[in-house]
Amino acid sequence: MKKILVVDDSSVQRKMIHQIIKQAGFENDVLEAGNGEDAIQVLGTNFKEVGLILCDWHMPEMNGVEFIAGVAKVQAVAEIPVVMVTTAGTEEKLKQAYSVHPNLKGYVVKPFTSEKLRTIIAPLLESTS
Amino acid sequence: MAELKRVGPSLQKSALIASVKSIVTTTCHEKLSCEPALKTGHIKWNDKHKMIIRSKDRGFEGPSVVSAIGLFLSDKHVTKGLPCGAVVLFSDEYYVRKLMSSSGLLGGDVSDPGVIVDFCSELCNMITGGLINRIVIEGYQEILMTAPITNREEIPDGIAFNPDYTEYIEFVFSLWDKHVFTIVLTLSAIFSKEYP
Repeated sequence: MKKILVVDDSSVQRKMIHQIIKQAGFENDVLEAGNGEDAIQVLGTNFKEVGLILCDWHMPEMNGVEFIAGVAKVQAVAEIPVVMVTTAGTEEKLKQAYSVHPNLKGYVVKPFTSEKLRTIIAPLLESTS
Repeated sequence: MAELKRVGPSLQKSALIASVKSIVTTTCHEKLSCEPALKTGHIKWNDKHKMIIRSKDRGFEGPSVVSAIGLFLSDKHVTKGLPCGAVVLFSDEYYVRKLMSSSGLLGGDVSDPGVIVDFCSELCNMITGGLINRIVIEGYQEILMTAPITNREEIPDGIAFNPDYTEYIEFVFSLWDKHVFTIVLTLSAIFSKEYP
């Protein structure tokens, strides 16, 4: 079963997302990273096991859009589905995210309901399992 | 042409209140007891010309957590240290724990002091993000927000604000008929969207 990589600088937000995944009945292991640079490290050693990336935008060191732009350029990880989970909810930000990562599969604006996140990630997890 | 334009007080108020309500209901499954009490005032600053941030000045006598985010027009303004505003969240620690429990997503971690600080940071982050999203919809350009600075009781260094604009709006929010958090918002003129 593929793992889910949650990239968010807030440990509380990472815990909440992890809990939503568990409550939805998905048994996928969750990997965590606090910013884009950490996420690159995690992907570097686990890229074959990761089946979904959930990524925040505003983070220190390397933000979410810089990270997903980098992911899109590396063949080995470019096909991993990515969902942005962020407070950055303007149309400009949404267009920017889709422009840097053509394989972006969803854009969830915080605050979000558990149901909304479940609806978006469920088909992505089923297709990678 | 884009121009610097004041965000009217009614838009500032409605955008911030809508952002808070959305988080309280969506993330925490709770409801405000009533509409927030509002008042305006002038910023008090320290010797470094930063806004003084102390929860006891906002009516919190017990344990509290304070989180502050700076607002900037652009990366250039961030580099120069010239903010266009700030959002400060003052929270009663006991009731924030209750709010965290209501989310049902943090399990037994609600008593962990580190988790409370992180939760207040995230709360301030989501409130500010929601505020900006709503202002942009009303015809303004997006403004940048810094990562939250969060601490217990006060932020000793204070937070920078636009020295040419010293007004703020204070919002006092209640849940369970108790004063749970207060938000202070100061926002000077920001760029309107460019139209041909």
